[in-house]
Amino acid sequence: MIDTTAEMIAGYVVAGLLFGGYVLSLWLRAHRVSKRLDAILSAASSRRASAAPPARRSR
Amino acid sequence: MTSAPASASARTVLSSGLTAPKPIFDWFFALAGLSVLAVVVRAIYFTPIEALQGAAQKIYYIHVPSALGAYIAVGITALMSIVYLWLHDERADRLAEASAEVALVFITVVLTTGPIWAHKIWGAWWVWWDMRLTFTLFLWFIVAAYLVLRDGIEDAAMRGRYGAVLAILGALLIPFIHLSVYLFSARLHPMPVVLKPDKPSLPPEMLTTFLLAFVAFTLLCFALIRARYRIAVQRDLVTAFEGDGGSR
Repeated sequence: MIDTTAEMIAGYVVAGLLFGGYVLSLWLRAHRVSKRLDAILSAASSRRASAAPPARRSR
Repeated sequence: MTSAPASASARTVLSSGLTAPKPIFDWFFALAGLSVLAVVVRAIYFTPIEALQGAAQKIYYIHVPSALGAYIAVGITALMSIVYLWLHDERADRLAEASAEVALVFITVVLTTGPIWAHKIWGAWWVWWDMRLTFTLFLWFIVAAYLVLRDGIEDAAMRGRYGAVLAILGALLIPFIHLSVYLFSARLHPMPVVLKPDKPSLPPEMLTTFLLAFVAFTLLCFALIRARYRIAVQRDLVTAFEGDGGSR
């Protein structure tokens, strides 16, 4: 039997790097887009709060 | 200047299937990741070493399931493209885009792990006359072209339509890739040992590892598509809120 352990390790490492790299890229994109969405939603909600009429004082 | 959340474009997007943002990585993603990890441990430590090829044969347990995962992802892209052309549903287009990106990753894994294995066993990194290799590379270029095409078109409807046509044509390659070992006599790829009309010719322990690997990589494929789809949903929400409908 020929010794091909190095090839096996190389194959698994390369696959791991490719899948891992893709998951990392997904995480970065998810982080970026959710930050933008949060900023938009909080800006909108603060605009709505400032535009709302003052609450009536109860007696 | 950004528009308020109740803007017309935002309302249109919300009514066309976009819901509140869901977590990108959840229990399903964790399950898929752990399954792949468990299969890798089983393949390396608890599966017999093949008598002629040695340990390099264990690349089989990631190479072939990745190829099958790529087939599934390209198949979903084509199916969703047909749905998009038929119903003009933006969710189908979004799912097609997500699957195509995941397909590209899986095909890249196939095209890199294969030559590492082949270099030692066939004595060559690559042979152009092996049609399974050449067709798989061709599929990689088609999926890459699909993503580049989508990125280059501003108008959402045109982007979806042109992309859908390319995706459907690209998926027609899959049967040729799988059947290329039957269709062409000049080849280095062996005949199928599992996906064939007769009984699988792998020893039981190897077959079990392969089937587990197939399940794990299929789960990973679906988990990645799901995560990528959810990012696309959030991205389209941001785009709609910012009021520039078709731009990326």
